[in-house]
Amino acid sequence: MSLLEIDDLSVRFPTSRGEVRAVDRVSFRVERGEMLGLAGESGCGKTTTALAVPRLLPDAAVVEARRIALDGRDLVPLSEHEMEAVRWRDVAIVFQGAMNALNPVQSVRDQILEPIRLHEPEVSGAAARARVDELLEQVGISIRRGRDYPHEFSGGMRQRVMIAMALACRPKLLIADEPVTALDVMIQAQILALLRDLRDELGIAMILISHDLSVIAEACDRTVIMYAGRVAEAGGSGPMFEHPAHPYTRALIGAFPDLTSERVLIDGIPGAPPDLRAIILGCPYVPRCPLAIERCRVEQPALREVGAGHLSACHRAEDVA
Amino acid sequence: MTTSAPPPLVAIDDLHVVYPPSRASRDLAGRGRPVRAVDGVSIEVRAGEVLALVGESGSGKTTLAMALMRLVPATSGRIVYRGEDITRLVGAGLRRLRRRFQIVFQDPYESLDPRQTVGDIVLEPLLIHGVGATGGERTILVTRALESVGLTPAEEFVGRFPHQLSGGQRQRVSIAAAMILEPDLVVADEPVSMLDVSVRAGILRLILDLRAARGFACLFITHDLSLAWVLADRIAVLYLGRVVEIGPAGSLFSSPRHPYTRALISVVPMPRPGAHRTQEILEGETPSPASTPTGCRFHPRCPLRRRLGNPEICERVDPALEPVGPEWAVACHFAMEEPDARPGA
Amino acid sequence: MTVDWPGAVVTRPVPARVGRLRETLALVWQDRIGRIGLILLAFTAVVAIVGPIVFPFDPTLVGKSAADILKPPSAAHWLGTDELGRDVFRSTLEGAQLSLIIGLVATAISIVVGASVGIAAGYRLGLTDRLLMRITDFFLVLPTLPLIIVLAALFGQSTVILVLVIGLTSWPSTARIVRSQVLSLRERQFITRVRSLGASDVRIVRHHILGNVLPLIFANTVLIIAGSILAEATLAFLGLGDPVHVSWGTMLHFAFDSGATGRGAWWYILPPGIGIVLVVLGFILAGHTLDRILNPRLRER
Repeated sequence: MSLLEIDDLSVRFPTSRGEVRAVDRVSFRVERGEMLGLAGESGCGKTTTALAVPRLLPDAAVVEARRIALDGRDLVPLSEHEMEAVRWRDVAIVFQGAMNALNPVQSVRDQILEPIRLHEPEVSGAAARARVDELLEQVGISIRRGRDYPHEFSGGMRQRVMIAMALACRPKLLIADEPVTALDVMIQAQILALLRDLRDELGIAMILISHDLSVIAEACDRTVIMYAGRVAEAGGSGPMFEHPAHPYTRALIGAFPDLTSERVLIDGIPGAPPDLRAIILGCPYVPRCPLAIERCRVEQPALREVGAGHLSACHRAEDVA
Repeated sequence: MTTSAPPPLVAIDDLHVVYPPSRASRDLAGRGRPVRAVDGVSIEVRAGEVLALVGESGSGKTTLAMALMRLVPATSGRIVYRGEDITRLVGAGLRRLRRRFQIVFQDPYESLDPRQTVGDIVLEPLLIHGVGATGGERTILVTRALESVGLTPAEEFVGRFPHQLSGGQRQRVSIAAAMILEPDLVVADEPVSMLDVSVRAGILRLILDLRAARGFACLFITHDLSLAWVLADRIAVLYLGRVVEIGPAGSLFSSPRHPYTRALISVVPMPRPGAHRTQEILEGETPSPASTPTGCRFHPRCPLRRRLGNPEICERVDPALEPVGPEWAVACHFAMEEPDARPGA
Repeated sequence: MTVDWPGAVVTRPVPARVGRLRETLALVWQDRIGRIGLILLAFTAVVAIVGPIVFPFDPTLVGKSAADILKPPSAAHWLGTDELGRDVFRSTLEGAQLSLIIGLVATAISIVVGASVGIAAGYRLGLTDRLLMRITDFFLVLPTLPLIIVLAALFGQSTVILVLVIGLTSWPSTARIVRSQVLSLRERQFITRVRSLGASDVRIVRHHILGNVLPLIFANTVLIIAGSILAEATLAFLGLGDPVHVSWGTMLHFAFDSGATGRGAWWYILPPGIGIVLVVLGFILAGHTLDRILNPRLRER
């Protein structure tokens, strides 16, 4: 049984100019101890999908799912009160840009303490403080610095604080939304290595959301590629990026320079993602797809298996390589 | 560099840009450490080349470019353009210079006045410098500029406001405004880092095509090494206000000489990492430009120094940029060690 | 990250150049509070412009006998008579005109001086800024009342003195608001870009700073007008206004002075009082809505 099973998740947002289908019948799994990458460009629905799990979407969002099971327990029928017990204790999040939203007048250790006090009030003060020290060490911050304030830390260090906060209640699943996007490349490597080490040490599963496919390729065991609110392709990162089975994946890979091959200019993808207010018949990638045929325009491709553990939502998946 | 090479377009000689200590960083006696954003850079920009300035935050790459553009005052040193010392140029001379040097900024939203139409934005340089004798002439120039950046038909775009355009289109407007005066040098400060991945290639290709057609030199600032690798003729790697390595892009990437360059390249994420790549992840962070380490500024984090048993010279003597090959210079006491260490698969 | 699609919802401010005033007015109208404000202002404007033409006030038309003094409203005098037997309704209309004119002219002085100082200080910085800000501080703490008393003693009481005093004591607040806006504007990347093109300071201020500061000045102006009208009313009420011409403030002054309150002559006190309240309320409500329209969009960056 997978740690997280998302079955048929859809999220719609009513707007003044029509309803936006941000997520359209998305299904995937996260195995225990696995680092899953959720990749795609801005607006593809990756953040919305991930935030649906701990039910942290705005009230206006209409969320429908057949099943969202965390460790076998379906979260969909849970009441808000029951969800509160799930948040942070079972599923924790490092939000995008959150490292810039730390409370400037609270010490770092107090901020890491807060989730423990809120979500595990039964833990004694001393035990909580001890856990904070442990967390600081685990994320590579010396315990002395716990007393310092956020503005005394660099961006990379603040991100470590956010990770410590997320791990404070020992969740089973950690969702990291663009955790390294705003960081220098060396710090980026440090944080990714940290996440990998934490995953190994603590055995927790992680979902890493990023628009940067190369970051995902480096860090994640498996990847789910999203486009226009749907899953385009999913599978083991290495094999998938070596032999993509969806034209979008292939095009996206081509947009990142590959230092191992010859020096050629990257390619772009002509056109733009579709307007998610419109009802899209067939495959949403058609206007930009070099392989599109008539069938693609009228029949929405189902996510099907094209290799061991490798899924693709493309009628012509076999022709992509 | 070889003596038979043509004189450079711009020669920067021992440039320093030092900021007084920020109020917050001063102690009770009012003392503080000045921020040495650019701490002695000597570099040349050749006509028509793409020179990438690569570095992490605190490296001084943006400050260097802004000093070159005379948008930030240099504390000491010289900037020589076509043989003329422009370091302290003011008045009419400075305005003439501003025709020749152009800049394209990173943020497509912030770099355009929201109250100006696209036409106004591209027209403005002409008005400032009195180019074009009649309105009709100027309209032709604007139209041509817009078409040259792919915003066709120009009539459709001329009346639009920036908020009606996508990020990529806005960058094209910035580029058009930069092109219209036919500059010798274009500084591109992270021109695609705020654009969607699928849109970046178009903008980069545009810059390269324009460079090929018009022959301007391009100073390409980026923190993204892989982009520098793809675009640049030469790459200069900056660390804490200094150039630590400068050389031809291809060779620099395949066998970097400076340990910082080597580490940096080894951690660049790639879509197909390959099974046996070893990443050299440095510990700690780049120190603040207000507290530059003694001797070689990289020495506290330098893996090479550690491997060599912490030789004293790294702490005491600041290495100068020394040539290690044609068009290639490195600032490291031990640059010739491990010459064949290769990052990547 | 950017949103690069054709249908993307763009939350940046929409500053159309042509018809911006019309568009802004339309937006104020849409808001319920703003609408009330606009109605009040329109009403007052009509009253002040048309009123004195249709119902002119003759200050020499005094009452014939003691019985004509402070008479309650009647068919002959819709709002009764004042302490000289003159028609209150007509003097109210006449007073509207002067009160508004004083308010507007004082505001004009205030805004022009304040905005100029604010822009100069905020853009030039350095010595210019420090000097201008010290001058601003000086005028900021200048007490209105003693100032006008001194000037009145030196030059006599007149509308001009009144306008000058109000204008000179209200510009500092505009200057400070404008300066802080200019301070943040000048750091914006598009200003740097235009500077890198070689644009002169004059050009930058005229074409790039001014336009982006004007909405703020506009919203501030509306509030200054309200304050100026109130200031005129207060000063005139205290007897420092122009004794020759009728304004709402002077009406109130003479109303109290002549004991109208003691005699229960509400028809003399209420019209100018309510007039002031309605006008000021009109400006405040409209200004409040304007502020809400213009500021969140500025804040959306």
